[in-house]
Amino acid sequence: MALKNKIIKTLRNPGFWLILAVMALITLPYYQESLKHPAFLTQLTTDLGLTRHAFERILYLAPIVWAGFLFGWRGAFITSLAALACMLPRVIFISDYPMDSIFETGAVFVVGNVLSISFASLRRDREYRTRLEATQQDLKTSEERYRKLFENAIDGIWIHDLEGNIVTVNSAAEKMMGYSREELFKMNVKTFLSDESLDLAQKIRRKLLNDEPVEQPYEQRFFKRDGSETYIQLATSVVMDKEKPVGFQHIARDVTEQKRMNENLRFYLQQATRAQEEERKRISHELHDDTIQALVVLSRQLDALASGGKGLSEEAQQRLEELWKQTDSILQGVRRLSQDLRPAAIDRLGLLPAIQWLASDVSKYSGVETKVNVIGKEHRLPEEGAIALFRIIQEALRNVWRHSGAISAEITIEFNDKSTQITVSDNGKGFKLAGKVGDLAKQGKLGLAGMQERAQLVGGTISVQSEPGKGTTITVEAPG
Amino acid sequence: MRKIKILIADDHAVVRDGTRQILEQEADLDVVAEAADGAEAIKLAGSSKPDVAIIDIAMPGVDGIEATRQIKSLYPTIAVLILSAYDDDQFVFSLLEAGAAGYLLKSVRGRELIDAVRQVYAGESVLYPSIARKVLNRFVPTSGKAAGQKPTEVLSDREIEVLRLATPGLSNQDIADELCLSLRTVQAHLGHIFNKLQVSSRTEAVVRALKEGWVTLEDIP
Repeated sequence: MALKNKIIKTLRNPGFWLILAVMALITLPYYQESLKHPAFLTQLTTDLGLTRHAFERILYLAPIVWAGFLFGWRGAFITSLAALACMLPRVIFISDYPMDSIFETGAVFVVGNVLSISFASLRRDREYRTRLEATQQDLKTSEERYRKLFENAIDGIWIHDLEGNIVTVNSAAEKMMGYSREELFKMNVKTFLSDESLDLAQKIRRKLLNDEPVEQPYEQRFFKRDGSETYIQLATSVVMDKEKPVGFQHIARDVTEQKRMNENLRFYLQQATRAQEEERKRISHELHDDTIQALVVLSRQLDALASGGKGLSEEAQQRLEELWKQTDSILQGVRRLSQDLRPAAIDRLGLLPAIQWLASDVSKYSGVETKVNVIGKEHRLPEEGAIALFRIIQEALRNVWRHSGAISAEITIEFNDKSTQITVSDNGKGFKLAGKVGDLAKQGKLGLAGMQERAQLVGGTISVQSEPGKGTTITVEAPG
Repeated sequence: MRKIKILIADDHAVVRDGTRQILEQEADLDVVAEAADGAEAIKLAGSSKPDVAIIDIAMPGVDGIEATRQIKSLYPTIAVLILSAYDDDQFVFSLLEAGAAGYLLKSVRGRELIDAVRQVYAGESVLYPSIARKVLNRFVPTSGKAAGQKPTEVLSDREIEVLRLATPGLSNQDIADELCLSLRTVQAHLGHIFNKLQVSSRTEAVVRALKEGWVTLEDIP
């Protein structure tokens, strides 16, 4: 098939027909002596000291070499065979000096092929050289681009050998570390890493060399030239040369600012939460000290009038009795409001009685039977820790009540030496827990995310376990 | 007629006045002292020697819970009645543990307050059956048993029986009927029980019995 296609291609090439024409042009006078060459050619023949037919034989070189140009060595060879076919009959049958003629014919054949091979290889060489130059140029451009990328990257990039001696850095790295390039080339990365950071760095290097998985990017800490601490997010890879590791390349992003912002945010959140609790406490106390006491006095006065007689009509006493009832109802409402804002038990009795109150309150109002178990010896927690835990449990129970469809819930409080752990579990419908607790906010489970924040603010932790159909368990642990 | 001597402790003057006014309507009740905080209450308990002390929980400095504890330890014959704004069972438990004989809300009607004062004075309990079960659950020891003394070391068999019947809130008359004794005898037994246990009210006796494990779940209806 390929051969057929080649043949068609060749036939399509006008060059082929031209060569054919030239061959014919040479062959015709070769056999037809009456066809004379043009004058300048005859002159040339004489000057060269050749016979007319010898010259004509030499002329065959032209189509052979040309065929070599157009169709490669193979084309030249075929053409030379054709030329041979054209020349031989005359040489064998007609020529007066057959030996010379055969010699000339052979020479044309050989020279023709040699020439075309040389030209072909010259051309190949040229092509090759052109390609080589182009490739070298591409490589140069590519290297330049890489170098520009390396140099201008916003992230700091540096490479050091297996011992930690710095080999190359980009300008972002210079800025990041606060040292100049010249200084850095003489340094080992050990210089700006603390002991812990060095440990981590060595661990990562070891893992990479052993082809173990490393979680990237990771956080690292180092000291700048001026001694200040910088936090970076780092990605590391092994640099190979001829299949052997020779060093490490790091790409780093400065996250000190972000970290600081996060810390500030956390601090702000802590202050806001504290302020919120303070205000709740204040309002709760005011309700208790002012409003409730005043209502008590009012209630008593109505009671005295309603039951005291003192010349009041039956109807009036009836009316006063109703007013007493209303006042008592208002009192209950205010008491409940005050309790919701800040349960009195938490400040006067402690976390455990507050949770016991919460459990019985939840059982009464939500219909979810809530039990409290205690492990260990009860001790009082500092106020902030106690209220944080209380609010977390309050939120957890709210979730049980509103979302879980559970019939019962269990709170287990474990008092340990230096910490307190509380577990809330229910037998409700559970939910699909994806990823870490930190992803909860994204899933719309803001209550759980808020609980985690509260826990972290007092130095505690939260873990959540849940499975659809198998209920939910929330465990919170805080120091104190 | 011997008047019942009463001490009132509350940091809200208006409430204190109001309580006094309610009590002084009764001929047999006599308010002998008023305190505005826990420390003063303890001091006056010693100097004015009341029979009944009406104490509020929320007081500055030494609060009502601590004041109850101290008064009961210094002057065990004084009956303490808590009058509080907190409607939280947890406070009831804590105060019974501290030695209070009864717990009422401040908004209670005058009539009930007067009755309660007389009841605690008489050694009756102001401890309703609904609370009793919760109290039991609260005081039942979590671990095994018998950390305390055996009942027979402290009380006679008869006295133990009376106490067991008093726990679920049976009145003296009911106890008398149940044990086929006279009312007088039952009252006498209770008096002995109070003396032996160093308490002045039925409530305290029951709490003690529960803590010691002399009374169990089966005894409460």
